[in-house]
Amino acid sequence: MTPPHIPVLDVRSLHTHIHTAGGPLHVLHGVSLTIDAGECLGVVGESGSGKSVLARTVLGVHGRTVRVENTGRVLLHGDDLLDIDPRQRRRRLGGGITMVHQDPMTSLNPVVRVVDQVTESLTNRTRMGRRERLRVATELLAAVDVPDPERRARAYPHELSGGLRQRVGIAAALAGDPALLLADEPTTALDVTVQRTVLDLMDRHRAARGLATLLITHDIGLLYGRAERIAVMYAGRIVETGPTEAVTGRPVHPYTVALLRSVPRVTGELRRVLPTIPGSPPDLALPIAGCPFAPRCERASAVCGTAPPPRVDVGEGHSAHCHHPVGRETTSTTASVVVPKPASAATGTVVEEAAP
Amino acid sequence: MSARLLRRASLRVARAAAVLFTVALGAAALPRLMPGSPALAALGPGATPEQVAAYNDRVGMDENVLAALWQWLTDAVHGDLGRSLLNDVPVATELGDRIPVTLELFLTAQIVALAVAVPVALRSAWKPGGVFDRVATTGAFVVTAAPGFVLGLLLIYVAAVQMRVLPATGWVRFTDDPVENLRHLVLPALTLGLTEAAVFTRTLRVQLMDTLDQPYIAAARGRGMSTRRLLTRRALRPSSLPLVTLVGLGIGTSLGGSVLVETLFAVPGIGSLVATAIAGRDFPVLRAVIVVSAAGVVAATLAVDLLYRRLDPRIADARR
Ligand SMILES: Nc1ncnc2c1ncn2[C@@H]1O[C@H](COP(=O)(O)OP(=O)(O)OP(=O)(O)O)[C@@H](O)[C@H]1O
Ligand SMILES: [Mg+2]
Repeated sequence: MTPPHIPVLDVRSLHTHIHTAGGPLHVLHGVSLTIDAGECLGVVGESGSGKSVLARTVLGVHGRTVRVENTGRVLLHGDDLLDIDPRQRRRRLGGGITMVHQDPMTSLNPVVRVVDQVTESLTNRTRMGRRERLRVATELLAAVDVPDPERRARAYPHELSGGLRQRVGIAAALAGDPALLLADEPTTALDVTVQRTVLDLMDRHRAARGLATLLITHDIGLLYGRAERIAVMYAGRIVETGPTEAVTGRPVHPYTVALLRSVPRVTGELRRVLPTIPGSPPDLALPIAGCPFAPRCERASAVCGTAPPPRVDVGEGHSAHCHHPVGRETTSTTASVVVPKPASAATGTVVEEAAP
Repeated sequence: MSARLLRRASLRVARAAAVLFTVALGAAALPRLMPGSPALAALGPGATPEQVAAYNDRVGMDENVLAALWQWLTDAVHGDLGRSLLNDVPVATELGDRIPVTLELFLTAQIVALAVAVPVALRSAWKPGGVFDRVATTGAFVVTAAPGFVLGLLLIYVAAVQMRVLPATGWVRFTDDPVENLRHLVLPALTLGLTEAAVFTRTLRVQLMDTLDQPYIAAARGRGMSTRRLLTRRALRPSSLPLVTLVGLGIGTSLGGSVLVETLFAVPGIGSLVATAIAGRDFPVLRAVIVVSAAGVVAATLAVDLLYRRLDPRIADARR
């Protein structure tokens, strides 16, 4: 018998409630996912779908005044992080799990030198002399391709460009030699030209260190060729998950189809008008009886408003939660449109043509 | 670069000089601004015209204000600030005796205020709306709202009357008896310091709440930083600028003395000097105190500005 396979991160039916002035808000509804060493899981979804809350819950760090309640399990190497005391948990931060933040302009302390922020994961646990810190920081910055790393280590964040700052953020995340990296839209705040190099850099370190990576984005196009697997989030639920080629090539959930339709294809003719998904996500404060996407879904029928959608397995780890999965019309009761709506029919936003 | 720095520095000095000159001018005009005749008020209605003329000469009433100011400034440069009208003691001697007393009192008070305000504000801001925060905020509010002497009287009652551990009033010079000096320092310094602490706490708390909501604080927490370290090493410094201003002004304005506290505790500092000088219309004394205390404020403002640059590197770069 082979020993049981333990993924680096194993989240099982995670429910998260955030306490607000208007009562508890059910933000995550039974999220389950796993990430292996060296693997990248891409999490996509519209704004407000709970991607950041998921990352913060896995990390265990919410805003200091935010009160959350979790049920389910968040297993890091098999240890349930929701079940251990806060001090034990904090010990894993920086080392076991780290996070790369969205905005490198605001996620670095303006009055603390780069060297001291980059080495934080280490100095939080052990004392380090000034020279030692500078040496380690210089090495880390060099590893993330920061030119002239020793000088940059002594600098303050405002003296660096946005791209360099995000490299500093990545260096700070790598300092403690973590097993799991949470990247919450790490390139959204960056210039398009810098985005790619920063993502490539993260890929390189993932491969070299066997780092499990959770890459959050609202741009599914960014995940081609980077993420092994994709999880599509909607209203705090993972509505479809599977290998990247399967999810993007043969999407099953109508929401995924809609998401893919709003991505400019680099190959083929460029479209000037990108359709956005009509309607808006549901109010999390209101209970949802059936499928949360039903009000916006072009395939929805009566059952979608009343019964939670069943899980549909389409093979090779590819599954979705839907009453009327795309491409499986034979099993569904309504034979509705299979072909995605033409772009002109949907509401659209004009985007700049991207250079191929 | 250095030419620019030099230009900026000289601009600063020029501005400081202009401020001091304006204040000195106002101080010189003070006797003229008083209603009625200061001479008759000081000497009594039975004063002879000769006495009145002599008085006006001493306070510089019979010359043009600018001439009087010029005379005063040239004398001041030579260390002569005139003599008190009340006891004929040279004003420079009087100030030399009293400034160290007042400075000792105020510096101690600032230390007390910081020692109280910083930990309280850190703890309050970390859990706003919590029990500690509510007690602290209410306490600060009560101290701010109550007139300053109430706290002083309360301290006298507890420490001097009930427990009999500290002298209620009076002063002993440090050079005469260090221990007695400290014992006499405690109550007035606490009175001043706790009042300041209330303001410090409120100011720092507001600023900290803003800082603690910044993504860089969440980022540091995400790297496993303990709350204590986070607060003291990461959140305090970016939140401290308004507090630095307050401390700077607190020390700067101290040269004007605290009339209230020094009178209450019979501390022979500038404050009690001012109290008698105002009552006795002792213009030479008032004039010197006004100019010296303005100089203190100007110096403190410069010091605060320099400290700002140390605390926040962005300021230093932006203004360079
Ligand atoms: N501190 C909070 N208090 C109350 N509600 C919150 C809080 N944080 C998140 N939420 C709610 O939880 C939901 C999910 O938010 P989250 O930030 O995870 O979305 P997201 O998918 O990361 O969106 P985006 O793409 O805009 O970053 C939203 O409806 C949001 O309003
Ligand atoms: Mg987010």
